[in-house]
Amino acid sequence: MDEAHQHYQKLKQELQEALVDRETLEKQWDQIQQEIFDKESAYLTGNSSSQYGTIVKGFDAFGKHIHDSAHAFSDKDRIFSLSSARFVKQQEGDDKGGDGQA
Amino acid sequence: MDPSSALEQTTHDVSNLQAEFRYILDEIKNADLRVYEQRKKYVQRDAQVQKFVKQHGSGTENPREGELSQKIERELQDCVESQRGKCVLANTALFLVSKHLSKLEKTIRVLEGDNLLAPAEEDKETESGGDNSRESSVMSGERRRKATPTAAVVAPKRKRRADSTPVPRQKDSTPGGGSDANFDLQDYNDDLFSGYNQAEEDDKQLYCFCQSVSYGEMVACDGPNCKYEWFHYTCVNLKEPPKGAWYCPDCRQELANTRLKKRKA
Repeated sequence: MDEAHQHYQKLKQELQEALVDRETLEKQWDQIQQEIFDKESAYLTGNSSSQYGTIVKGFDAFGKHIHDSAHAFSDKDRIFSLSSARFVKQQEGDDKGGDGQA
Repeated sequence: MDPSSALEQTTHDVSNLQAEFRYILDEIKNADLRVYEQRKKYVQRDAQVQKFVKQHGSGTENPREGELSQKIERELQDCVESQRGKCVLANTALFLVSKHLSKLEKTIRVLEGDNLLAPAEEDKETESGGDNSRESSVMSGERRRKATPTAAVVAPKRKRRADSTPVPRQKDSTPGGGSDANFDLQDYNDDLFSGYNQAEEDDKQLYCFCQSVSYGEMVACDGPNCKYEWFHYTCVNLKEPPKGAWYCPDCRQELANTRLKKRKA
């Protein structure tokens, strides 16, 4: 019985630690996602995006200064953020803890 | 090889990147969706196991528990597989960009070596100078030179700052150290791409008027229009972090000039 109890305690502790780990990882996950989102925004709206083009829009506009159209990007162009299912679900709002979005 | 054909070749080379990236990120998305769905499944199964315990107490054996555990394990395994696939895909994307980048850099070096291109400090400018002439696809040296100063005025700099901020963050730190927030990601990346990630991402960015990769301590110039923004301590004769605002020699000169003008006016 004592052995079983020890085993139980050990498992319990493992579980607790795993839960804490998971929480930390989820927080980091959100952070990283936010970071991707921010960098993506910076990249897509950056000054040079209109001048050089971006990897999303292609580089056809290279040096042509198409200001408005090149600057404007829709949410569809967020290919980096959108590659995360979690991000998509958070946007749709059916995931708990939706703080990973702007 | 001359600059205009080099530029044309490069723009031609990168013209596929858009589609490639869209494809790769789509694939990553699909893999992530698989992970998401699998996760939903095993969470559900886990809930089933827990529900049984709640209903029958932990003493009663759940006849289905073994089966459920197996399934959960398989689903977790699937997730791991999908995640691996994502890493490979992301790696591929990085590789594609790196390939083009190093090719372009090599071309530029060759052109510089042949004295067909102004030395490295004008990397940015020549690139944008090239843009303008791409439309006509004829680029005489004269035209390039004419295009250089106008094209280089402000636009590239903002971008560069945005680009480089995540890397060199603090005045007195080396550009390699990230903040806590992205530290783990960095770690992870280093693990994953240890081969070329560092070389491509961190080190390939050229700083300072000597246009070398970052090494040792770096200092940021506070000049709003600074061409380089980051300098090696050794290049600007610094031994410790400067107190207050610090300007590079060029910006100091410019600052002095504007002050002089103001006084005259």
